[in-house]
Amino acid sequence: MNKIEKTIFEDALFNQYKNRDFTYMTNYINNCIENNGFALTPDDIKTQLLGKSRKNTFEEFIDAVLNNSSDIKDQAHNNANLLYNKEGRLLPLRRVPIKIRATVAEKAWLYFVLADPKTDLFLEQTTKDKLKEALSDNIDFPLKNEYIDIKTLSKNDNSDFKGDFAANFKIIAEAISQKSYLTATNTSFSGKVYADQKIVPYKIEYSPLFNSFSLSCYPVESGRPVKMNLKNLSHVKMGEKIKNYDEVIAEFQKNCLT
Amino acid sequence: MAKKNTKPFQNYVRHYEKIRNILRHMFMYGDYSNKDFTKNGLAKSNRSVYYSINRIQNYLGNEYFKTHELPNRKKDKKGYRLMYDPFICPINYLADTYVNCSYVIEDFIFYFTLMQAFIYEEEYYESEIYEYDDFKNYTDDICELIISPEGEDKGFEFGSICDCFCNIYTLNKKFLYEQGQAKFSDYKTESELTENSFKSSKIKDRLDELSGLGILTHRRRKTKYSVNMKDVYSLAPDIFKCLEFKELEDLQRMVLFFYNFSFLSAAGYHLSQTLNLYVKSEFPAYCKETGSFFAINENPVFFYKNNRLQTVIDNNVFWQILYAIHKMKPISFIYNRKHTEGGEEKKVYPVKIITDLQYDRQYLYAYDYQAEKFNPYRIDSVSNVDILEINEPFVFINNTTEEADIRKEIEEIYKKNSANTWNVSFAGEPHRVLLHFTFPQKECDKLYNRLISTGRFGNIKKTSDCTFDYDIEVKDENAMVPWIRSWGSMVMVDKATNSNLFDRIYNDSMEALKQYE
Repeated sequence: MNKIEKTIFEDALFNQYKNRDFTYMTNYINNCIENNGFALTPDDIKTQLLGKSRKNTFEEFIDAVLNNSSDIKDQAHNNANLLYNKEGRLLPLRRVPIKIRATVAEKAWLYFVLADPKTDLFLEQTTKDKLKEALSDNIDFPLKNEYIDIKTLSKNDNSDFKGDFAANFKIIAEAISQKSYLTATNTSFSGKVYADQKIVPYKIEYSPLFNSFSLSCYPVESGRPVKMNLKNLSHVKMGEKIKNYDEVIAEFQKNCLT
Repeated sequence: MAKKNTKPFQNYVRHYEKIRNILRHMFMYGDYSNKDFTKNGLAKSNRSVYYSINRIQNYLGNEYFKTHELPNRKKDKKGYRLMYDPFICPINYLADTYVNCSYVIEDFIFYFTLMQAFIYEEEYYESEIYEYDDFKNYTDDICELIISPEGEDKGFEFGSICDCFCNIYTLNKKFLYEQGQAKFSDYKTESELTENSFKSSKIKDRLDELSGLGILTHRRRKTKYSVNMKDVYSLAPDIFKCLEFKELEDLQRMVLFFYNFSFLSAAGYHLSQTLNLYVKSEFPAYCKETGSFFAINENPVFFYKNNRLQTVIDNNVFWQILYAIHKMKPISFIYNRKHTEGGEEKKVYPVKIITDLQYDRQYLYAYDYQAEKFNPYRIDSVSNVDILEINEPFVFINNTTEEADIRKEIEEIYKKNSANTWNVSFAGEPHRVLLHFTFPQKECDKLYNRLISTGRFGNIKKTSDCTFDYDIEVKDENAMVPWIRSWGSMVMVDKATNSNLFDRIYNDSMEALKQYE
């Protein structure tokens, strides 16, 4: 194998360019180019890079970013020379944004996942088609369904996620994302109907083992956590934003744990 | 805080083997102290454990890395574990351990200087490249790597990239020096620059690494004025440029959903970060200010049941095996089993990766050249995978030369061998198993649904109200025992059909009853 093939084989997932230092600098440069107001002082950058929860961001790295590296003879320490000081704040020296590109492993994974019918719960067909076309251009991905045998528990794959289910799923996901109420009718497996309940949605729970979705939520009237199978929900609508959302969710989590 | 990239904190990517088993144990059990790791063969020495634990703590932070006191010990009481609580932590943070490989400052400098050398045509003609007023009228000596947004396939020869990089880096240093923001001794000429950390061989290595990762593309082409082939690099195509902001939002939500349970979680995790950076870069007006430039990992909409995160620890092995299957190459690896110290070298042709969803284990099904038969191997016991060059890799099939025919024949062999397997027990001939289920009236529907959703490829027949027969032909019926036991008194094995299984379940039940005497 040549060096590039060897990198693909051995190191496709070990990507230093995705680590926190590289990510930080990418975001910093791109944000500051868009708006100088994001620029920080050297001390602020140093504080952010040191962080609270992590033990080590190396002095050598911070010195390089801040252009403070000292030049010891025969042991040259290089400054990054990417930022310069303007009125006490560090701005990108070159006003060229860092171009973001997905790696081979990421593209392979995305191409593989796009074949899953559950992607219809998230993407319109036109979006999927655009992505497939962009990905299939001269790329030879090793992640293929035919190389993997999944031993499921059932011969039924439970993968009917179209129609009303997909529409309800999107509304529920959006309501959770927007921190809004939902109203929905829940018809339980026993046949009991809970019509037009006002619900605080917490999260959608997915079981890879059974390929099924449930909604963890807090119906306002019942006052206790409930799990509803998404297939049993109908007449789903998004409501208004939840006031004091953090307090409501804290209460929900407390009830779930007790 | 370490002063520099000192040896204990460097983690050259191959050293992932040193932390793999420690990570796995900390996540699944969390009941070992430093000495326990050494005593149980998960590390070679206490010192090695110390460094590995420090690395892991550095990668993951104190949010997920916990220490606790091990019970019933007078000394060596400090235990380590990794947190998993689906309410608090619905993301697969273990994927972070893949990106914390070591780098030197020159890698950092090279990457950003190079990425800022790639300029779109409109940026070149319309914008002012340098921020500082005095720099705006830069000389014609500057060269950038100008790319067209339509087809980013304009490659740049290796020599041009070297010149461009050194040119820009030297100019950056010169400007900063002239503004009094760099020390005199930092300013080197281009020739001095190339003598140390940015030699052409090192630049070539970095370019090849970026090409291997897929951030750049590489090809060889003949140039007009030379008979030799030249290395040509360009920025990889932007696969997201066709998407609008709403589509990117939907895509990010989809990626966040899938990466926590799909194959190759690490790649999905990285993609979510890539999308994050991409959206902030291309659509900054739509993005919320977070006050931090670090990538924040969140999964606000989903959490997961029956989901185990630790398979991500073997993702790179998984990828290497897939690569070998794709390229139709045999491999060698070390197979680490409990009773074999140091592991055993295996030389195999990889056929299929099998995932057992119930226990979340992954297996490699392969032809063992030494044993001359097909075997399954647990992927979490596989390490040091390498491509193997041998003369006749396809000894186990009839003589075919076309790749498509070889693949087809291998697939048929797998289908034949894997027919009637309950999970990954391939050995032996299929035997019939007949089970009689009797469900209580009140829960009949619910239990029947459970039987359908967990009964694999067995056939279910209703015999009367709330009683069902379950009929299956399976290799190694003992693999069914845990499932049968989970039904308790609601199931009876038909003795006439399979007396061995009947006796096994009966004896196990008698043994269990003794606990209640």
